[in-house]
Amino acid sequence: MLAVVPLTGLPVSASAAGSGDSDVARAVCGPGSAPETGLQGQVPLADRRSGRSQQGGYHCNLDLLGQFQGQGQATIGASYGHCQYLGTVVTSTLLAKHRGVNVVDFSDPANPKLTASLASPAMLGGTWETLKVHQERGLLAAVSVGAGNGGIFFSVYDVKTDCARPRLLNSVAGTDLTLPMFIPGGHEGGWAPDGRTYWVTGVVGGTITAIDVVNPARPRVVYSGVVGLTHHGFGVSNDGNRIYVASIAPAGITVFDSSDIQRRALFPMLRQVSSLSWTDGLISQHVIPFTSGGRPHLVVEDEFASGGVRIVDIADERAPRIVRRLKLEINRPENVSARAADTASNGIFGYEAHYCSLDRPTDPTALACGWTQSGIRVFDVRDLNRPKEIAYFNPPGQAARRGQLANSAHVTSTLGSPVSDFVNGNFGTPPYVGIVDLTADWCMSPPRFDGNKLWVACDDNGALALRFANGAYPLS
Amino acid sequence: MSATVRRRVVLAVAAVVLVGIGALGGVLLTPRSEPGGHPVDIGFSQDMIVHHQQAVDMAELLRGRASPQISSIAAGIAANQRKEIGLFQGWLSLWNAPQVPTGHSHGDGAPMPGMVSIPDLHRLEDASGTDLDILFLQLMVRHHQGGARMADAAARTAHQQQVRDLAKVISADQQREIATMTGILASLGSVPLPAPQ
Repeated sequence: MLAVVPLTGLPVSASAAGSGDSDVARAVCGPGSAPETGLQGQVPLADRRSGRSQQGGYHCNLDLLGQFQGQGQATIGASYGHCQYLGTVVTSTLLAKHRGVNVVDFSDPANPKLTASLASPAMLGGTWETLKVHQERGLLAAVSVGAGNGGIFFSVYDVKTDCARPRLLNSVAGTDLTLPMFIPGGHEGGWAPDGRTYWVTGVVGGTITAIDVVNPARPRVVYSGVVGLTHHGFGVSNDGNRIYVASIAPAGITVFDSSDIQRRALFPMLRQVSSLSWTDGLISQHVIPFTSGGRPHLVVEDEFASGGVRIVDIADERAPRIVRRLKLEINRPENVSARAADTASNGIFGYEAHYCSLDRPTDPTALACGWTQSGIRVFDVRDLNRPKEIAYFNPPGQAARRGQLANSAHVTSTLGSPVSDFVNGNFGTPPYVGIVDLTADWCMSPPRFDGNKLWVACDDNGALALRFANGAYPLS
Repeated sequence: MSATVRRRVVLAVAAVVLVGIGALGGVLLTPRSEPGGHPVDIGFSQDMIVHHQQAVDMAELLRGRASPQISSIAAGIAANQRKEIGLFQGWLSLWNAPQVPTGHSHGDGAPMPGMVSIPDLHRLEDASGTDLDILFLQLMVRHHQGGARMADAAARTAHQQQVRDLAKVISADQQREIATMTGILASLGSVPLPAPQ
């Protein structure tokens, strides 16, 4: 999540560009669903005004197994096994009852319980998009991001031993304290697939840092540099020799050779291999590498401008190629006025894709995304050229619970207008500045596939355990 | 803290962040210009960003840990080199050139003269007291010797006048700082490391 206020004009073209159709067929909702009442992905103004959007939300082929709302969640949460970890916003350090990353045990999904609150400096400092689990090693890590581009503290927890009671591995003498580390700028973080390296990117100044976590008790910076004007999240290739970094403006990706860092060279450098940009989106969020039929691809989301999700073929890494875009009906250019009406006072993010995940990195069958005010969206991607939606779950707005949501990044947003859509001329008439209306939630965290379950977190609704219904998933 | 004060803190923090990042966004959203730039100018700019950034990182590693005199020198180096990194980034952006070098890894040797290895950066991170001051000065003198050599070459061979001019400024600044740091090393009873090959 990156907030950008238009101060100096709006010069970027919002016209459609890039190859491929962006339409995605609607899900066919089976029994027990509560389908959307408007366009695909929309929470219509009428429903917001009538209170419908705050009563049960909208769901299709996904049922709610359990929920822990607590104090809300900030941007990116993580999960491991039957536990969820809720990201923090820096202001909750002052305002929350349970400070730090709340740990929720869903071993009894219908009765999830708060079992711990992680209060090391990194966890208290606003985790933004750094709270990530390495599933194989069972390590949870985050960086203190502060107001949006910080990075002094790094924490690593063991969650494999007992996911409900994480153990801080890089503590000072068994306390909650960790030594400060040199991380020049931090906004987004994540693991290399082998779990030996945790990467951190800053959104200001193009900083990027690699932390060696081979020994989690003694993490060390093994690379830091400046490789762009500014960038956002990233994905790392399976062999660790490439890092794909999302670009803020223009939207797009840059491919870097990271083999120096992967092999722990004495004098490591990132070298640029190629880049790709597009104009029908903005502020690309992060990147998910995968292979389909043996060909390497990337998933890239844009968090601004209704850019949606893109599938990029990188079989020729020097010439990445967009093969398909995925946008919901509400993201189409002809629906800007509907978007503007619906989201006029519900915060800076409207109907934007944010963080996705695939059910597996090789020949994935499904893609699930946190799509902010459109909730959780799940797509069948067995045929990359013809993705179709199979399920969604957009939880109800939580205006009535505003007082308890000290850790919701949505609630703490101080601008009401949908800044994320400003390049399409949608920033309010006049722009609304004031308390957000909470008529729809912000779901920005990556869902995690787990059998026929989906673990997700949304800013206002907190941690959710969902189960696919009507045979929507798994896909054969 | 009262609820009112808390809310003011939240609003103030949010406003600073949003305005700061917003200004950056406004700059970044300007239309892209036509490609340009001479390969020598591009290569020098890309390499110097890498080289300068390491000096900034080393200076940042001292924050709150070195003696006041050394901290002051480090802060000056970081401020100056950050400004110059910005100039290089701006030029590369105007030339539509990558912000970092392309091509392949050059093995295990230093890619540019005076660069500090990861183990040496870890030594700097772990050092304290006078040892920290001395190690910083030694590593930075050698780093500057390499940087000045790169700048000297660019001052002669760069294509654009502005690039040659900045290269001369960098070389002069770094030579002056080398003299200062070498003098302080002597006062601490130490000497510079061998100059980079």
